[in-house]
Amino acid sequence: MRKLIVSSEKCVGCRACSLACPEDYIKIEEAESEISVEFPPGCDMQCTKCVDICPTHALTLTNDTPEKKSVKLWFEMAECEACGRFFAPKMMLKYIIRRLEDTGLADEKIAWLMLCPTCRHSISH
Amino acid sequence: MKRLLLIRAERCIRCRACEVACAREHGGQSRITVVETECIAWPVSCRHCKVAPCIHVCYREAIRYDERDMVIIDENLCTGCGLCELACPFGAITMVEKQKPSKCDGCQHLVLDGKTPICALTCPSGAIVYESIEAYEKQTRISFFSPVR
Amino acid sequence: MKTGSKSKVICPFCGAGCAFFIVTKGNSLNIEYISDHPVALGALCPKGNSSISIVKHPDRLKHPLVKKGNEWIELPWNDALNLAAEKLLDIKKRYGADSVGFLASARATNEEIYLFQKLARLFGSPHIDHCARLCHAPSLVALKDMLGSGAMTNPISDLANSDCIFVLGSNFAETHPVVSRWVWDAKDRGAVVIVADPRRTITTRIADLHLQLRSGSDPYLLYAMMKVIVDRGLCDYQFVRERTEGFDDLYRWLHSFDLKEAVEFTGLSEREIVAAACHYAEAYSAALIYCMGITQHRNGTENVRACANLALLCGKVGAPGSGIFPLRGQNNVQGACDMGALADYLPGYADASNHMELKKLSRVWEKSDLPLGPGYTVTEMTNASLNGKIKAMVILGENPVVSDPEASGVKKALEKLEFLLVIDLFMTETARYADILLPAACWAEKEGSYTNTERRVQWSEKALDPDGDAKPDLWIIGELGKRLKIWGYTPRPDEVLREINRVVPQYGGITPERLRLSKNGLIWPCQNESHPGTPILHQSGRFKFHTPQFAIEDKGKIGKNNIFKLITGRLVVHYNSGSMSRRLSELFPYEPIASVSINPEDAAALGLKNGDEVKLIGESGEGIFQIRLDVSVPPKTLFLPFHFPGVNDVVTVGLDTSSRTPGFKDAECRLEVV
Repeated sequence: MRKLIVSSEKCVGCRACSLACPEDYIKIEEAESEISVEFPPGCDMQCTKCVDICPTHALTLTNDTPEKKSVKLWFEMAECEACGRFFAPKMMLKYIIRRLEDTGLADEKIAWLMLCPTCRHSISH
Repeated sequence: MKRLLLIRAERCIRCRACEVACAREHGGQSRITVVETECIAWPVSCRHCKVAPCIHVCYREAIRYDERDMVIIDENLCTGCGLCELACPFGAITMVEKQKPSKCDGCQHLVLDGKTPICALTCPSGAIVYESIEAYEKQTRISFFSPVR
Repeated sequence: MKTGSKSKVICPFCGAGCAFFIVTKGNSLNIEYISDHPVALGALCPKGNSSISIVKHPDRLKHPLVKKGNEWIELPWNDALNLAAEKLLDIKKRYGADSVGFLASARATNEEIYLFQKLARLFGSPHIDHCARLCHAPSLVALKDMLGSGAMTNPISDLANSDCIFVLGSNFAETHPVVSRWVWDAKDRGAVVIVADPRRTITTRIADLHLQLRSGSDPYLLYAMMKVIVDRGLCDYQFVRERTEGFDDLYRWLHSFDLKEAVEFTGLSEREIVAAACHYAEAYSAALIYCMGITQHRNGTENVRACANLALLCGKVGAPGSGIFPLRGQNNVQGACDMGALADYLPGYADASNHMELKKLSRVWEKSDLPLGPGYTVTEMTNASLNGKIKAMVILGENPVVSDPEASGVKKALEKLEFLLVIDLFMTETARYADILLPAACWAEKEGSYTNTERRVQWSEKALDPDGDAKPDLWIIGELGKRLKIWGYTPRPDEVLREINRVVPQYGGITPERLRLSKNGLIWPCQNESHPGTPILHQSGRFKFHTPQFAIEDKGKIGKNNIFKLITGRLVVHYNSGSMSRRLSELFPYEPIASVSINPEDAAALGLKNGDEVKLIGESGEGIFQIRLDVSVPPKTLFLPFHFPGVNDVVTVGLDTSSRTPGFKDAECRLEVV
């Protein structure tokens, strides 16, 4: 049994690890304006799929003894400026800004980021 | 001369033939959406941007340009993180069942057979055109020079 | 029938007549587009794109059914057909053959429709009609009279050659989407597009000039334009002199026509009308597109005559880009008219009340004493049932409970019949009233020819066999005819088409061989086997002006006591009575219910918000609908799509005297907040 360590600063609340885990150990829960990702304290499998797949390298597996309790991270969802729907964790949007900043795509035109993908279709927004 | 999906938005009559055809071609999920406002309508699909935010945001480099310079998502490399859906300024990517990205790929499977993307094939008003810029400009010039009498 | 291969079919929906391949692979069907097809360059609207989902739809009728009490019992074909024939012969014996009414389908093949009207007439009944009565019968009457032919004069693609396109009472971007391309191509060359419609629609977006006239005031607009054209000397005098008769009478009439009064009645400005008139008259080539907004009035035939008068006055007929374009609604309504499935016409538009014509037909059909027309029309048949004159009906693929006005009366009429035989794909709202219901094969499961709105006759191939026991209409009609002792044998499509070649002069050279070999069908008139067909009509010949006779009945009720003008019309994702489109998951989610569109100001005055329910009360029926606020609807006007049962319950209107078409667009109703 290996210890699973998650960095609450690095995790952005995407679902990649949850989708990757073949045993469905990582659980996503959607509430009204929040989303939670629950990580088990340890993993009895041999693979490193979750660690490999994380975009921000937020997960580590060590040979130490796991903690007793699972870790649940909560993410505030961003509200679409046009329709008010909660559409993405704010952390994910911040991550995207960081990635696009490096490329020069993020300037004042980034206003579209605070719209949900559906509202982005409409030119009036 | 590379052919692109050109949109003549003024011709869009919001009939949604493109949505129906695209959905039929892609297992029930349309990758094109017709947007309508009070005075105009037009079909929205991946713009295959020359500088594509989705490509930059994908940390696995699962999104790349193909020989036609169209933006294609490699399903095998994709992790289902959903970052590309949020990075697209046009909302052209949809995470289906929250895990698989669905986006116009310029009907790669048809084009490899020498055929035309399905939205361009079916658009009744000619709002979606699959043509190279050069050929399209030539058509426009011909139109311009055979005007009404 | 082929498996794992492709068959060329004609789309089962509207009159545009688009063609595509159905590709069969095992049990699945797919569509392949025909990018050089002349009507739409292979394009298909959302309905055409979804059409293949009709074929294996779970609601498809699979076995003959007979009604016992409140239940349907399955019967083998032989029993069902024998029973139907027995009932019909019994009614004929007791009440006479003319107590049976026949409604043909405007979407069956030419061969099937021809055989059906032959069955009706050989049975002895003059009462054979179909849904063209509800839409373009005024065109048949008016254009045939003035121009010699009641059909569209130029191909759809020819619109791209027009320098001015004048659209009246047509929302083609919604009803015939593929027409839009050609209109835009014309516009790209600099053509001027003028659209006259009381509403703002998807089509008015294409217009350079939108004449938002008062509903029903079209003849005033047209004659005002003609007066302007005559006063400014913009007529095509050479054309008028060499190719027409009756100009003097029209000229005199126009002289005493009060322009100012007419302009005021239309609600337009004189400037707009003058602009429209000058553009149309001065264009080198000009097209006049019209549809239900012109025909579905108590003045429907007069309205069409006014359109033809304008076109003749300006010489805009009989040349590329110049023509009259009545857009036909069903994939074979043109064929149904050509085949004479009409109360007043025999095949080929011979007069059904003319003894000589009946004698000629008698000789071909080898039966004397054919019934003298005119017979009852669609709406007259149901009225006649209420009056006890019609005791039985045979309805082939029509849904009058949804598409006829005064639908509540239609339901009573069908209930009152002693016997009702319905042949259809689905348990439609009309099929529920049947005593015997026979399952028909759909368009992909049979072969035959269809005639589109361009007069283009095209052969549609059989792609696959029907599931269950559904049979092509041709077989059903043939077998019924055998048991009615009308003929001894059920013909194949080729054989029927060959008879059509002999009987319908316009189809003289449209033989099965030529059709199968032709890439894009043959356009009638095509009198003999060496004739190439006639894409553009009226390139020669003389035409007749018509001296107007119309009066608009304005009861002045609109606006008071919450009386609204009620316009019914179409939506692009639905098709006519909705029996197909309301069943397709690709289509109906876009428009799942009939919402009534109301102007936001009218809604506010009544304290209504989007989604509120209202009751619409017509003279003989009412219904409850959800409202939708819509700025494109003029004040004191409501718009309802007619693709849903219950809409036509609210519509009670009079008939046009010449064509007996109901004036749907004249409807009014009272609105009550629920």
